Amino acid sequence: MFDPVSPQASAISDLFILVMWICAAILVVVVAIITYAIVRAMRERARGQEAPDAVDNDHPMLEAIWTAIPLGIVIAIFVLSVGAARDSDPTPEGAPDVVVRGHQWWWEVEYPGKGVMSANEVHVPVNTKVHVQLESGDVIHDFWVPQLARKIDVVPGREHHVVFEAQETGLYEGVCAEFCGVQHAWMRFDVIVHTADDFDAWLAAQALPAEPPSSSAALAGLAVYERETCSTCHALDGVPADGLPKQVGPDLTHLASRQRIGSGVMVNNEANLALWMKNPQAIKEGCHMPNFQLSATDADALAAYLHGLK
Amino acid sequence: MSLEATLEPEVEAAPTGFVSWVTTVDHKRVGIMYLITSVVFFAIAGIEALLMRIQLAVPENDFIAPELYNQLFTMHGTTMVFLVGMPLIAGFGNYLVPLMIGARDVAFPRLNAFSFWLVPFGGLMLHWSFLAGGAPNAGWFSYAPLTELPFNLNEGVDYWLLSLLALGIGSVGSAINIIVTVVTLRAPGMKVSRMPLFIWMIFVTSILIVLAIPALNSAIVMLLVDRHLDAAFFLPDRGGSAVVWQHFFWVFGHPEVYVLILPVFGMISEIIPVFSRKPIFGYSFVAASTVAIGILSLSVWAHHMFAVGMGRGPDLFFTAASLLIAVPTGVKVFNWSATMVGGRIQFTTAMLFCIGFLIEFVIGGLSGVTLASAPIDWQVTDSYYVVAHFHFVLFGGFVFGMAAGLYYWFPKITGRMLSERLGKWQFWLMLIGFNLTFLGMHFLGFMGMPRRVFTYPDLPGYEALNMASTVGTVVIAVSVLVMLYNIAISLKRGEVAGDNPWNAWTLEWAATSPPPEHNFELVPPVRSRRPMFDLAHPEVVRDVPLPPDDAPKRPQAAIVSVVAFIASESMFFLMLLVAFVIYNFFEFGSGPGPLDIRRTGMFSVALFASSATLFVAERHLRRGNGGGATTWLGITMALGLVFLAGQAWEYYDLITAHFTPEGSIFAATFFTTTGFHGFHVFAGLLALLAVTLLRRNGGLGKNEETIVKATGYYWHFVDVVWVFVFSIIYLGRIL
Repeated sequence: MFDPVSPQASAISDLFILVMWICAAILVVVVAIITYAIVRAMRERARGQEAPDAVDNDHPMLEAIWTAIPLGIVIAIFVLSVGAARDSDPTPEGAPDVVVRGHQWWWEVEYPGKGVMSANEVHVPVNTKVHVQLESGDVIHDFWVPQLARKIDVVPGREHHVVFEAQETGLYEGVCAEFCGVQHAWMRFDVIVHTADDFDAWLAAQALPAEPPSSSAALAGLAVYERETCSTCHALDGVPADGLPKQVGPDLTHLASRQRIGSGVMVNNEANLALWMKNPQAIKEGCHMPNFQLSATDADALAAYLHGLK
Repeated sequence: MSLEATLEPEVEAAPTGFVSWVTTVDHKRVGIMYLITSVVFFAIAGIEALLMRIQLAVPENDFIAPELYNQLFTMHGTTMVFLVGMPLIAGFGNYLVPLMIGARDVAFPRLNAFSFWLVPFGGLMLHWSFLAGGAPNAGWFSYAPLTELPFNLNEGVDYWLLSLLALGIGSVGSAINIIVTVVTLRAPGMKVSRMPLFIWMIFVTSILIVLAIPALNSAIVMLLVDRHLDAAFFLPDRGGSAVVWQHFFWVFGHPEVYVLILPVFGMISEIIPVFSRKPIFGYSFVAASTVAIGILSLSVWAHHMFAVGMGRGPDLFFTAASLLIAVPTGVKVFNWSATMVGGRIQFTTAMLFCIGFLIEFVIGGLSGVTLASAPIDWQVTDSYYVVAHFHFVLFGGFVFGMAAGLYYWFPKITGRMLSERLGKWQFWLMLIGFNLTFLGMHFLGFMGMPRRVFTYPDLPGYEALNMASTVGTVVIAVSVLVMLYNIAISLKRGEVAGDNPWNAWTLEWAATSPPPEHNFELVPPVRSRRPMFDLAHPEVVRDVPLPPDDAPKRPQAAIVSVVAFIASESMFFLMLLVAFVIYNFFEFGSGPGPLDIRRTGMFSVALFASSATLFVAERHLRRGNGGGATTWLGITMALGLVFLAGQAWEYYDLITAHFTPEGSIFAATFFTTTGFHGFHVFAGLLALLAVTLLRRNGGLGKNEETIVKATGYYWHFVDVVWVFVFSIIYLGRIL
């Protein structure tokens, strides 16, 4: 969080560093007083000076001083906080650019009006104010990308908003920061900041329907996909579904374009996909995808198909 | 047996053996049992912490399964707060309060024993969940809706709710006892301005317990109603709210932080002066700042919720209130430091722990200042920075302070000194282990590591800092073993302490070590804040006349206790009514229910009339007309029964009309609020019945009038609550 790449995160980082200097100064003063008392006591004992127990020990003037100074400091911190709150948390304007929905334990990422649905990756253009709307499908989650923005809870029954403007392209780690159940630890996501052109290209690619299977293994995988009713939970453009609720699990249309699977638990490659298909519970214990007891052949075929969904 | 007979002091030697401990009502033995209980649970919570740190030592570790890890951190937090922190405070409080104010015992010894036994009961119930299908797994804050049935079928959550209810009742009972003891049983001459600072602070803590625990209880009963009667207080998809639980929890949870730390402030305020051979610097400022902290602590709960998205206004309000707490806390730190300056400091183990406390607590307090600022909190909350912060406060502060208290008062409690050599080993090991464990966590927070994760990816820096932290935990464990060993050998072979081994100044050091069952042969005169100093230095005692015994002028114990109890109950009903208003008038509003306002109004008249008849009964009693009092008490109870019958009739009609808690939020709030009120009317009836029966056998003796009056206070309170309940729930539906 001290390596901010947006004005919003910088506002907090700057305030934090300043307040930490103030705190460090206070700590130094307290430690100095205590050290002085200890050194003085040790020196007097070494000299053999045995003063009697003291009787009185009051000094209202000093008390007033060390009440007033901290009061002044906290008032200053408050004033600075008001400014930082304004700068780090701008009021969102207009419709959201991205809608992110927290689910146990993954993130649904929708680009409204663009026909794009993804998961666990939020792609945004550089040097553009991005308005993210946050919703929850179940319990309370929290959307936190330390280098880009404040964290904010994702609360069922409410819509929350966060606005940030990334100033450098790159990949930034995001996490769920509110305990949300057994796999809270693996509810990570990435924010990927593109140049404007790259972002448009990415958006266009994501809006396309799924790539048809190109190899025999992939064709076999599609058959497994349909046989095992994967579409009960997962959406996949171009593969007919049976009208049951979607987005119980991540959208798979462009699964292969994503960097990781299982909300950060594994790198996304064909071998890991096959492992996941064999038994997701062995990789992400307690996640809502059951073990379908697929044979090794079926799992590999499915992985081959899914890995083709660029 | 009459009440007086049971209060007769026992002069023979204190009995020993297991049964004598189980049946004891002696505040010292109850205190010791509290302390032993907390040490047992400290060991359990410590093992849980060790297991967690082993799991976190390296990235993507699979030493502990995620579900078990979540149970461990839930149990670690819950155990440390409710089964280590609270019993330690109650233990030292029980042991020391009567001794420090020169009393024979606490005001209500049997209530005291009852409060204590709820702790092992609650602790066993909580830990039974391990055998009954899984420990609670949703954190010590148990945020709804994660704890609701659709997301959590684990019965551990129910065990958590019920055992916290039991522990909360015990804590309130113990706190009321301390309040009444301090108000009514101080030695002659011990004016409020002469009370030891420990007494000041445990008194403020007790008031906070009495006011804060009911907020938790109200949240707990709502969640229980959700889980077992299928209501939806905290389920947004059925009209509830996911945020109300958090508000209610932290209305309890933040004062709870001060409940834990204030008594430790009190200990530090006793120990630092003794080992600096100087009176505390600025007694009145230390005492007043405690009161200020107590008041402020009730208005800052939502700083735990900055990330919830409450909006700019509330965020900044709670920022300001939270920052203000830094001022009285800072005053305390400066006073403790100033007490040391120029003193002949004796570097005993207790004093070392005090110095350790000072520095570690200041670090924790300063990181608390950063967390009080909403924008900073938006970044660091729910990260390891927070874990570092509250362990600096609760380990560096609470545990170090308690260790100081242990080394300081162990000689009084057992008659033997703890080994100073082992004590210093413990101190340095604990200091190193503690900082190794928790200092690096600040940086993990900066790097974006969230808390409550069972594992983490191999990001730069994560492994080294986590490994250091795990090693630190092992060092802490060794230091705790040194402490346990020290206690074990010192109990047998420790140097005999004598009455006042530290040349300390407060009254507990006038008793023998350990004190006899009746505490004092003769309480020294209290002419100043330091009666034992006056005793040792007759030459410096200014000519302060010993004030006359003002004990008869103090409020009566029965009245103080019932007032404190009513304050606690008021808080409970206030929270339930706040919930009713939030759910029905603001955000949600599920339409009026089929309430028969006129009929309930008529039954309400019966309840209100019963207050009047009770007044008449009391007047008869004051005039010595016992028979008349019995008649009017009977009429009062009859009217109460009529009201309850009316409520039963109403419930029957509503339930047969399928108006039930699972149907709507209105029904859920209605039944919870009126149901708990009805339960209190029933309890009031039982109290009146008990008083009536005891009177007939002459069991109330000379306290009769006071006890009837105290019971009357409670009965009137129940009626007053109904005025609010009826106005808001019934009349509020018409308007």
